[in-house]
Amino acid sequence: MPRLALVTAKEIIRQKLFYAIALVALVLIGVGVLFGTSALYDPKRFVYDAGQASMYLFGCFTAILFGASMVPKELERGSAYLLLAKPLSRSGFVTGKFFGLLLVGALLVLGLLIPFALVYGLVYQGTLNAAFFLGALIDVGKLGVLGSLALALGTFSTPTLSVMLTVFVWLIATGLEPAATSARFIEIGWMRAVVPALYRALPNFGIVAADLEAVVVLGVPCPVWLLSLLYLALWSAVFVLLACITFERRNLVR
Amino acid sequence: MRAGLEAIRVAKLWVGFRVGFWGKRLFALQGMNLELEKGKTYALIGPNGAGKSTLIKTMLGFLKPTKGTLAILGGLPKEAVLSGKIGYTPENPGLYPHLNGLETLMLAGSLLKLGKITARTQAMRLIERLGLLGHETREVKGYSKGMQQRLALGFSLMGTPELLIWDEPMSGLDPIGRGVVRNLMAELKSEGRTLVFSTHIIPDIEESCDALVLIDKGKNISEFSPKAFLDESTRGYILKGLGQLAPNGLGADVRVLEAQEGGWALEVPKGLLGETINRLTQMGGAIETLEPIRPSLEELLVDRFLNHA
Repeated sequence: MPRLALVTAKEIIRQKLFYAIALVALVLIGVGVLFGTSALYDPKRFVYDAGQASMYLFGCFTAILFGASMVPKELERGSAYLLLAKPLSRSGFVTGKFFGLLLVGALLVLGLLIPFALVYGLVYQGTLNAAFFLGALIDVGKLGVLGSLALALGTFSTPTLSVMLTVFVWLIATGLEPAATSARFIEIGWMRAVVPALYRALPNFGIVAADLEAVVVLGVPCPVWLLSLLYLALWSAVFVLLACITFERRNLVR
Repeated sequence: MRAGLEAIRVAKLWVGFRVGFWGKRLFALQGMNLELEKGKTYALIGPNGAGKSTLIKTMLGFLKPTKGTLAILGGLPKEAVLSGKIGYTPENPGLYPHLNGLETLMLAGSLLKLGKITARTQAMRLIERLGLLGHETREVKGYSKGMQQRLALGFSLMGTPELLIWDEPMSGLDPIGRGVVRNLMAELKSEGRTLVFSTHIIPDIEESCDALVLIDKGKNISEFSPKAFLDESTRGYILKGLGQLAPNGLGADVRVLEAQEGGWALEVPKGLLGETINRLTQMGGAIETLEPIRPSLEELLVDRFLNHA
């Protein structure tokens, strides 16, 4: 499985789409620096926001786009059949794919973190402590959740549909916390019931308090980000398990 | 067949899956029965859509049987695959384009949990055997279709599997590549390994196969040795040679097709071959070539399929 994860990571990294995503993310960090000097409010904050958004958004895009197409592409190309005829279970195949994706996501976030940290720390004298980097780890955790969900959906659905559904869950995961808190103010009756139910049933990025902003700006203590990481890891495990179950059960027809 | 000698046993196998927007159920295999012996080479022959690839995918556990039983090397397909005793090459192998030839085979080695040195040694041996030496450090995306096909066969051979299942191994190969695969088949046969493959390229299987399995409409319609089948279909022989002929001394049923300046060609009925050769030897004739008069295996198979339909 580690070898499969490495092959998967290498394959993603060799794709033009990956470079396009990384380039746009870098441009966004550069734009932050450029406009930061003329920002109406704190330039340091502006650079920080652009950098954080860049790492988070493009990390998630990578996870969703590549995660959704991973299994269908392998089946279409025929490489899945070649591997699954060796002593590799279908669950091992899916898990290997997930870890490859996670590795790429982590490399992308790290790759973006270095120029971001340089600009933020050296040019704008921002705080570059361990918590700063741990915040990025939380981002990796979030893209792990989205990547595993996209992968799970890709085991029985088309890549397009998988991307759409994952983005839908991503939006819910991001906006669920405020919606659930104010559920009692929702006028439509059935939605008043559905929103809290979704709040409990889907991953909720809102309760992951220790994101990069919270760690750096608010200085959230260690147990909080550890719990946040654990929460994200559990959701990833749930989706990988779902992917394994659906992939184990289905007929493999090209 | 005695238990323990069977490589594959299929009994009343039905395999169906849902296709299209409305999920219409389609049965690709409809009560297939088959027993394949260990150590032999079998070719699965049939028109497109006959069920050959479905049968192969079911043997490997990619498709689940709807009804019936299937035993591979005495166990369930999944068990046989996970034990590493099977080597498989799909019709379009779709190798990883960014890996080189050696890395591709090393990937198979790592899945089989071979040690790094063992895997490398095996991989290099296979690369040589498949005529890919000198290309092992090139990325697969730079390989021709035939080279990719040969590399995929190498992938299936890593770990020295007992049973090899190849789906259309000759497709996309040029005559040289086909020659390499034919030789490989002969070597595998001499090593006592079981080989099951589907093909549409009939001339290549005459020599290499112990038995042909004819599949049509999801059923095994017959199973026979190609050599015996061809022998049965032989009507007579064309003999060509040198030396003086005494036409009256050959018998009434032997037809002289050509006779000039010491060279001759004769058409001999099937039952008279031995006797004619004896007579020619007595006359001092030297036989140069002997060709059977019969339809090609391809024509015979088409005829059999049409009769079945």
